[in-house]
Amino acid sequence: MEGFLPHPWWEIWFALSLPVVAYGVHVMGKLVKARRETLPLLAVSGAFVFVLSSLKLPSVSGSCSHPTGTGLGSILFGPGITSVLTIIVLVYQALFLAHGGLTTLGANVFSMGIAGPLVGYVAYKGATKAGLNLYFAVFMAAALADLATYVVTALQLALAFPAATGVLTSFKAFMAIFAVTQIPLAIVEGAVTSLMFKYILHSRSDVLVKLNVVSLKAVQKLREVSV
Amino acid sequence: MLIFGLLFGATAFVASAGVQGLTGSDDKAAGVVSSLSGESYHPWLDSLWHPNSEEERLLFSLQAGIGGLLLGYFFDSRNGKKTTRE
Repeated sequence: MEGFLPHPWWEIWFALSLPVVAYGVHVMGKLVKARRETLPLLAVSGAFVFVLSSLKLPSVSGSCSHPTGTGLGSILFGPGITSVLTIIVLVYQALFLAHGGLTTLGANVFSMGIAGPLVGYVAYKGATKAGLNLYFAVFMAAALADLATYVVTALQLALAFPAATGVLTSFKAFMAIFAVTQIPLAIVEGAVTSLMFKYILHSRSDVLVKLNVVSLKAVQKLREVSV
Repeated sequence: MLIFGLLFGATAFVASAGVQGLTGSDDKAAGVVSSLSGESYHPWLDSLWHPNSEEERLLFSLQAGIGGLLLGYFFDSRNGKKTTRE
């Protein structure tokens, strides 16, 4: 919501987010120049954020919220590039929908474009290294990226609006809203992202191997299973 | 490609109809701020433009439609290459 975060918090979140977005633009430029074949997957990752974050879905607590769609981008390209994809969506929503806002853009980019994708990226890398099923790793990464986004949002609000008894009390109050609403949506988002990843793996496994998202061995193993 | 755009746009439009009357978690959070401070909280800046609920639904659908067009382009190009190979 425009003007929702008071001074100095909205400036702090801008200061933390801008270097990451600048790094993301730099990495994205280098990637597109060096590996032109990744361009369609970049477009797909951006489109995925565009579609999922536009959906307003009902949840168990009688409230509604949006999925984030950032899990796919974070798995394929990492949090830096995902922060660039996210800022495009957030600017559209701030300008045309009065959803989010330009003054809260820094905080929203940090929670949805940086913290969520970072958690998703670490979860995916950790799960694949631990030898978990590839699609389960994607499911987990996308669901955790969604949940982490809202945990960080709750933290941002708690820091800006501490209760008389402290930040922890506010954090619990905000988490009670976001966590309950978001858990079912995060599960749905994880499942949809897994399906999308499966399609990409079947159609562009060569690019995924080049991006170090999956190993050639894992792709060959999956092909053997499906034959 | 166009079908995907229309499909995603229509899905977002229909889904948003299903949540009319439900409170968004963002709005609930604003309520928590007011209850924590003990007085009604007013943001220090307001958006220049606020769409009404119908306009909001249409703009969210447009957002989904744009994303759908891009996804459709990807699906089309992959299917086209597969068909050509066959």
